[in-house]
Amino acid sequence: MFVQDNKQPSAITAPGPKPAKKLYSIFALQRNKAFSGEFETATALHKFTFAPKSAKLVNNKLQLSGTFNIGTRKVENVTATLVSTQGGLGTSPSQIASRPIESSPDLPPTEATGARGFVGAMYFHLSAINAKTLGLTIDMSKVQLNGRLFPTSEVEREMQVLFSDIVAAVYQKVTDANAAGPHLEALNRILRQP
Amino acid sequence: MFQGQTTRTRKIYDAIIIGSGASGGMAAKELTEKGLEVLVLEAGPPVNPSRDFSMHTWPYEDLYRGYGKPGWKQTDQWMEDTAGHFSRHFYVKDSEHPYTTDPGKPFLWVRARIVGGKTLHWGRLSWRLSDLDFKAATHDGFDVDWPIDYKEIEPYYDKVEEFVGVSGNQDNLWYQPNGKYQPAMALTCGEQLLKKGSEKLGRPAIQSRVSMLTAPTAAQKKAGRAACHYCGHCGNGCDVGAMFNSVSSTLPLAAATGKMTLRPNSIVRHIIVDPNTGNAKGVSVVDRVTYQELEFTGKVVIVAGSTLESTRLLLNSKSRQHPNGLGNSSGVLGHYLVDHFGGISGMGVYHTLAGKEAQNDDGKSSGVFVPRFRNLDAKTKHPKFLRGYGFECSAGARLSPGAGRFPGFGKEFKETVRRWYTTPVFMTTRANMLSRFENFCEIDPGGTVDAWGVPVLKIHIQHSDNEREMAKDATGCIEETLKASGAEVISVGGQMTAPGRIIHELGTARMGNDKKTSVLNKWNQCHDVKNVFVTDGAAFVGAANQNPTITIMALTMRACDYIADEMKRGNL
Ligand SMILES: Cc1cc2nc3c(=O)[nH]c(=O)nc-3n(C[C@H](O)[C@H](O)[C@H](O)COP(=O)(O)OP(=O)(O)OC[C@H]3O[C@@H](n4cnc5c(N)ncnc54)[C@H](O)[C@@H]3O)c2cc1C
Ligand code: SF4
Repeated sequence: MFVQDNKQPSAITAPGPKPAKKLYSIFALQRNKAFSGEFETATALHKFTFAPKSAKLVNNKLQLSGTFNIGTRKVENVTATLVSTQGGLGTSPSQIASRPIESSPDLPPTEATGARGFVGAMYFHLSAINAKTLGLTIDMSKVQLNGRLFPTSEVEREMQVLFSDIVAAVYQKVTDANAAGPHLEALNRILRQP
Repeated sequence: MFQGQTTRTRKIYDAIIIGSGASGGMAAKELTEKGLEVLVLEAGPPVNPSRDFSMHTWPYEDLYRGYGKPGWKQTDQWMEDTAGHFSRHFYVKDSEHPYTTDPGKPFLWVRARIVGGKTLHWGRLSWRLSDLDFKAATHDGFDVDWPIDYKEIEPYYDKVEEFVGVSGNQDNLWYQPNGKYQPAMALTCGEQLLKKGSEKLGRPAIQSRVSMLTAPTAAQKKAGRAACHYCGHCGNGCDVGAMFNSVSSTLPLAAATGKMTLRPNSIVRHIIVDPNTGNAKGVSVVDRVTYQELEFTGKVVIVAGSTLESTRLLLNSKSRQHPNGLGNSSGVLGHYLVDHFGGISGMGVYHTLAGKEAQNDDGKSSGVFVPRFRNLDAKTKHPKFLRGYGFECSAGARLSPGAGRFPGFGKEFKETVRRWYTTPVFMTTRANMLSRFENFCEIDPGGTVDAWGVPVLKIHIQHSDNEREMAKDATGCIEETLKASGAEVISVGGQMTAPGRIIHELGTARMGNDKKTSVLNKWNQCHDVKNVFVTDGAAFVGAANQNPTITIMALTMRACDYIADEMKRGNL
């Protein structure tokens, strides 16, 4: 058996990446209407939240605008442009699971595909953030927000379906901004609610 | 990220190997034993079996009986389908390692970033391919043949199986060739019933061939590897070396030569090209933990990061000479992505086995395999699809599939559950997906990166009606087989698994004789860059329906022979 140097950290306790000077990507889970997560700098672990207040299409890309905050310090009017997504797997959300399969109805379908597909993760590019406003000395000029959708409440479930429908309309080879319209309206209605 | 200066090492290695999994580990062993000085760069952390494997754990030690902290998988490792509480550190965190897909076309990408790669927890099924697979296009006219035939790879299958230690039988099926096997594990009672049932229908059912020792050779014993004792915890790491993995088998031998330097936590960003020759001169690395940027120099670069990671690396290695990615003058790099599909399954129970005692054999983690039986010849030609599928089956002591619906309560209920404990039988499909140009991966045009700023893949793949027709046929055949074996059928059918879920992604840097339509030649060598070799599943021309790893290792061994010869001749 190949026993590597015992002084090296084991895989179970292996350290993650050390604090970054330039943030490339940060992970956040959607909870309620916001995306929350944490990242580390040389001085501390920072819990952050990006809370979108509105959504629109810019060049056929979904753009959320809202507040990015760490504790009481916050940056307003941060935009998060959805650049790419990752399809979810397993059981589709119930609203989507009941949609008819488009092709070959007498043949077995593939899980979570076609009309029954849904979004599992969303990759946003945030507008440049002046880290000093947040009390930090790192480079936040081009941060990617890896937003994971794993709904546990009614509003999160509803938003996952809306995000999936918007993505299906405008993140295809042939885009259809009109088809995204009603879903965008519904999303804004939710985001505007207190 | 610490954007310090790049540290360059002076040493020039004979070979730099990227990855330490099935292919990288084999390359390290082969090349060091031939006297080459190699550097193995592994993106993940080191592994120490005595601390990191959790072999003999009890169900009650498993957090939430194996489900882990509620939601952990869905928020940390949502694509790491096979990760469990005791094996989660073998797998990547999806939160740090994005990849993207188009709406409605999901892909499940299971990745291990650790010394040993996916060999630490693979399923160990080890089937050779035959000329039915290597020469599939000659057989049915679809796509192209591999540039090699069975005779060319046979000696390497022999050597790999003898080294790795595969248990199985000589079943004398021309389309599922015999090999160099240790004694097969015995079939359970239920598996014997299933075998008889399948054979009644004219479909041979054979003992699964698995890379698990049943009668270790002197060399295997000397290497500290013991026979399998059927504990069934293989997915958490086997610390007696009974199952093949890089840390029990290939890496220790490479280390013993004194010619291997293994550097964990080393993420290769791209391959560096000599601007004068267009050949590779080394690699650029970012340290996973410190973010330090490093460069290493080598005469040959062996890319063995697993099919899609290797393809990502080549696509990210753009230069003036290779503007579309390294080795991509054909435009084929990233294309012809395939996975096997499953999901079409059946479950039943054998009434004749009710109330029997569980046996030690019930603990073994191998089963029965029904090799492909469609489109072998004119007689077995199916009118609706090309190629074929096999069935992975098992029967043995476990909770009966219908247990939740058993009537009764308390003692009476427990007795019923116990009575049916020895009866269940399971069948699932492993099917060939056709290699099609339109199934491909590219660097995400949206500009998504991972936690180290390395651009990630966007994956485009979908099943066609050929696969769907196969799935429909398999559904019927499962039911037929269960019934012919005397089982009461509890359920049959299901949805096809999304591409990726079977974890046999292959084909994105295919071999071929024509550099206009392939990335590699028949020695796994890039047509465009003679000192770059891609030795993992990316090299496959077709998926066949058998598990790929033994073929990956045979191809790696063969490529290493070629590299050593070419170096001797001064060609590399
Ligand atoms: C649960 C499970 C069951 C399986 N069952 C079977 C089975 O029964 N039979 C079978 O044949 N196959 C099976 N497989 C598939 C099998 O594990 C793979 O085919 C095999 O491990 C592939 O070998 P590889 O060397 O190409 O990749 P891996 O074993 O994945 O190793 C690749 C290594 O390269 C490293 N790497 C990647 N990118 C970089 C980079 N940029 N820089 C540095 N290092 C890098 C990774 O960290 C990794 O350690 C199974 C897989 C899983 C997960
Ligand atoms: S069943 Fe055999 S191979 Fe698997 S962990 Fe136990 S001893 Fe190792």
